[in-house]
Amino acid sequence: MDSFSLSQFGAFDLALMLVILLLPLLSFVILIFVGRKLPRQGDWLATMNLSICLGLALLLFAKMLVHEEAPELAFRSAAVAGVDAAGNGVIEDYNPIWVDVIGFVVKPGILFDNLTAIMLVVVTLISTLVHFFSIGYMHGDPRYSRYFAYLGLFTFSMIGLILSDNLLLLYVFWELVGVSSFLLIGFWFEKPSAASACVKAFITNRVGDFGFFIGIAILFTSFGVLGYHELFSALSADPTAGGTLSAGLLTAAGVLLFMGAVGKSAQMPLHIWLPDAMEGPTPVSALIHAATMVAAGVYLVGRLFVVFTPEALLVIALIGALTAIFAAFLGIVMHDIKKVLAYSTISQLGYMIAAIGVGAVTAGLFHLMTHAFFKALLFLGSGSVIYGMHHHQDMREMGGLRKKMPITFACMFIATLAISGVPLLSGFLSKDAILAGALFQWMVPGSGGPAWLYALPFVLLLMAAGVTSFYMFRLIFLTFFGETKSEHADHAHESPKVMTVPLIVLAVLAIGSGGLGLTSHLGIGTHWFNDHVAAPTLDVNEPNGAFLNTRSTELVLTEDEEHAEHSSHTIAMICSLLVAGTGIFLACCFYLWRKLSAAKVAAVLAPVHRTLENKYYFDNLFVGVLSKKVIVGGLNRFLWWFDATIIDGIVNLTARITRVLAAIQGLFDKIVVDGLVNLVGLVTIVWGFFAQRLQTGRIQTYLMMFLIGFVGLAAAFFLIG
Amino acid sequence: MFQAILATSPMLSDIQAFLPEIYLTVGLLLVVIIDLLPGMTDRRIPALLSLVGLAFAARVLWQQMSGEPRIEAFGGLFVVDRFALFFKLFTTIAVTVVILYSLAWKRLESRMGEYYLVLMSAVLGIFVLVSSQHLLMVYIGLELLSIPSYILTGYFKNQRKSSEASLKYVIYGSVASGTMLYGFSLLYGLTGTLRLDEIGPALAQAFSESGNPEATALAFLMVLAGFGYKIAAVPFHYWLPDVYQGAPIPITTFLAVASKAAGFGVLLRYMYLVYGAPGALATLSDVDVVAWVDKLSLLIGIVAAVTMTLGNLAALRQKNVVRLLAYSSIAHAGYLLMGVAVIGSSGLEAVLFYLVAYLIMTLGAFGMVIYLSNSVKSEEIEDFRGAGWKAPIVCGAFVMCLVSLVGLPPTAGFVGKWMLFRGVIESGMLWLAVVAGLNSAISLYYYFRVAKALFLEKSEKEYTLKRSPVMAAIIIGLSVLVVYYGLRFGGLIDLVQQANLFAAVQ
Repeated sequence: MDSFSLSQFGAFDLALMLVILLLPLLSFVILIFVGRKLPRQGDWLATMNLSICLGLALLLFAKMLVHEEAPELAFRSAAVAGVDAAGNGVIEDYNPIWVDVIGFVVKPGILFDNLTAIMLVVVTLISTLVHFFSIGYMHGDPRYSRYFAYLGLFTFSMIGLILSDNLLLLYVFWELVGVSSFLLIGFWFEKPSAASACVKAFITNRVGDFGFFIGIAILFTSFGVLGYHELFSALSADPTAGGTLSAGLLTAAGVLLFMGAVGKSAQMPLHIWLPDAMEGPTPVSALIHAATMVAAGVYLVGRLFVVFTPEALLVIALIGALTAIFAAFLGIVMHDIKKVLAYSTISQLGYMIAAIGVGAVTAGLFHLMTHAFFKALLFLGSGSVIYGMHHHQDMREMGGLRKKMPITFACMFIATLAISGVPLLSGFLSKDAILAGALFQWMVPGSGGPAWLYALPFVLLLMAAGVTSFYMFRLIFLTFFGETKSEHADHAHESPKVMTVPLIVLAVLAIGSGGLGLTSHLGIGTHWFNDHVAAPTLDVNEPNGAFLNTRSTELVLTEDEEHAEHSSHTIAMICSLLVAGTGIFLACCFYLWRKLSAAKVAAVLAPVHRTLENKYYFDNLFVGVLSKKVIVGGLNRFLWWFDATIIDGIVNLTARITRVLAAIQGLFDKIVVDGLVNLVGLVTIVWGFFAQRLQTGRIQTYLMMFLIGFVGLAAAFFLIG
Repeated sequence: MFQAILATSPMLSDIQAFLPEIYLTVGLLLVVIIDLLPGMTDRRIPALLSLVGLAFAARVLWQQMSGEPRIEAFGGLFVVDRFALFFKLFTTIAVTVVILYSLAWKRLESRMGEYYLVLMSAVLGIFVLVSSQHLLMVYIGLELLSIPSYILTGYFKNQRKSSEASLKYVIYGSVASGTMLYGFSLLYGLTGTLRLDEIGPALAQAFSESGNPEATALAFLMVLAGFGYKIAAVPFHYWLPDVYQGAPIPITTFLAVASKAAGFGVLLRYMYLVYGAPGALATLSDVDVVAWVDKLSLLIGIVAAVTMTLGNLAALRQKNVVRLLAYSSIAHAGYLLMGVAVIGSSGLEAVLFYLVAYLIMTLGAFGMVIYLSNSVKSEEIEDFRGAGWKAPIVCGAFVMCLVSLVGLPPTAGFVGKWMLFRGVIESGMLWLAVVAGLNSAISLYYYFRVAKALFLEKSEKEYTLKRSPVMAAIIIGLSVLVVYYGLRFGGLIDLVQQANLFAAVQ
């Protein structure tokens, strides 16, 4: 085994990665079994392990920055390191066979490239900070050590997901991530809401994952490989897989794979689990349901970008953009500070997904990283507020916390600026890049559908940008400005250092992680993220437009396109600044200066709010309750809402538009999403009733059914064909 | 030494092939004798004798496993090949666990000699069934399995539920086997032989010469109705929920695992020899025959789809764990039938693999029911609330078995499903894979409900859980196997690949 060297990647780095992967698992195993017997219940062990991981990940990251060539390493559980013609370390030949089914062989392997390096740092960094933060936040919890054990399990699974080099291994870790998320959402399982939230999250994800699995199965049956590299080279050699694969089936495979991301990254219509997932401890929300796990879907879509046909990409872009706008509107009407952030997360994930859908892969992944930092910061900040408020989360009880919790306020304010897209901060750069990508797609539409569909993502994302800055500033104003509105707020206090220091670290990153690239925005130098993470491409001789999207096959732009790309950046930047400014200005009008009638708005918002709140009753669906109550109830509410709109609707225009759109979203959830789920439940009940009717307990009926069944089968046989 | 004498005499080679069955019979007779002796009141003695009988049989089976790949005995009525040995060993393991469960289950107290006598007769029936190569032997084996099953179901003869289930089982079983016999006679009429390995080519010849698709189809469907009753495929499943609930739980375990596997064993042998083997119908390229074959496999596919869907949907509504597992076992028969529908290709080994996975996880699940019902005195899900924290390791192991029943990685159930799905997708029945996938999603809900009751809900009544180290060890061992075969299944796949060779079929 060679030793560590900065100039070249080798087997030593593999050992580092394995250590990074296994240390969290180690802390899981130790804590779950003997955690309670360790001093301080072992929190130091988990935190120490994660800190080591972070150190190692930073080491690899530093190497990646030094390494100019953007290496793509394919480690295959190596014992022998080699160097290929291009000077990149490629390690093969020591292949423990992991799966061997009748000639179908899967080998566990690690894929390490620049994207992996960046993701590793993001995951280990946020996980470490969350560990520190949790020492304060979870202090005195009866299952303190088990909490850290679960955090270890999650981190292990997430790192495994990032490192795996084939779809099957990815799928295994994908499920493991789901399990640990399940455990952590339901951590306070004595609360019925938490217990049902974790089940809901798990089952909703199942829906997506079954699609994901079928997608994998289609690719595998066509190409016979599961590794990313093998898959991509098979795809570039012959996208039709020797004629077995039609363009339609490849599109279907892409959309099915994307279904996995829809579940995990909470895209519509499977976003329903994420707001409920906030029942888990707040640091967990920061780690799993804001920064890392939910980004796994984005990571997946980015990794597999070249697999998607133009049609599939269009679907991805549209779903992402719709999610971004609808979730943003929901953020306006929430009162629970964590729920606002939850919908904000859904909306931002929609941004990333849409970015990849419009072909701006780098921008999407860049936003993934910057969002991870500022959203983790927002969640940990809200955790700090909740901790200071003695576990009260309603923003209506807050207010005036600015002076009582100055550090928390400052950090959260920075994050708010970042997510709103205020220049000089990380969010501005990544969001801008996405908008530019979407605008470029409008100017130069792809071949996946009618051109006007390609205009939608930009328009929707731009609107979402405005709404985002509105609801984020609303959150800041309600929480930190004005008068204190409850006793808890009067007695609020700043959190201990173990909680505030992680906030400060994240605040620095929320500024800095993008700041490094700021110069490129002004036309000086290049952007470090763009330099290191290129959109994946295929090495194809003849681009096959029906099968492969042009973004992954044609690198050279025509002169017109190049011009369009250039102008798209400028236009997008101006638009986004205007829209974000408007959002902030309106938020100030409503919640800071109180020039606009916030009280009236709130009064009119009440029915909408209730509609949205009712969403949480539909956990009942899992036990099969639905029926007229929901449908009739929904209709009533609709009529009531209609009354309220027409009669009381003399409020100012902005509030009105906001309210209507939010209500539509609520109804969409209520009627379409709930309705679909209800329909499934109804079918089940009807069937069950039918089947039970036949299971009468009378042998005469049984024999009659035997006879009818047999005659039916025989008749079917003679009638078919 | 006994074997050595047998080996020297070619006249007695038939007996040698039959040796495992003979050991079983001797064990069974010893149980009768011991039971008649005065003073033998300890309920463990007959169990021990049965185990000894099984051990002897297993030893011979193991030797046969490494011996000749195929031995015909009694003029071809009886055949010992890898396939039969696979099922016999499978049964031996299952029944060993069932006997241990019977010892652990507190409600079995009296008439134990009778209990084991009848149980061992059923095992003998399975042994004969999976080895038979002749329709008469198939019938004898099937009845030898069924009749003890009826008796065992009604073992608690003063309990209404138990006797009622037994009576229903008898009547239903008689109708099914009557139908099957009718099918046999049709087959005989069409081909002039009852030997399974001869029926295949003869039927193919008769079909292509005179072309009698209706009669052939009717014969097939009637025979399949008989086997369908044994494996509880829709629409021949109606007996199952009542019987599973009425029978003593160890017997339910036996029916769900060993008896069902035997049903699949004979179904597979029949389908392969009469239908899928070289020279038989499924391998002909005649246009009419191909259309006929496609229809039959489509029909089996539909039966598979309906079976799993009905099983899963009915399971959703169950409040009693045993009834839930009963419907779940119907659903699993549906999954397994997917492999039967594509028997010509990789379906066969997928079914065999899934059967092993099914054995492990179902034994684990029923073991847990016995473990808990000993303390709770009930099999309702709501009475299991909060039990998880009283015995976290065993219950955790049980949850692993449930995970496998759903078919999630990293468990044997996942690998098995993977293979079954792959088989049907390769044969172009994508729709069936989609239905099965949706079904797995549904099944997650009700399996999970049990796990939720164990760990996430609070118990309403106070009781102490009776510890039982043996049961705990079995359940944990089974769950370890579930995970082990979920990760390292190469060896098991080698085994089923061997077992699927119906060696030297001419």
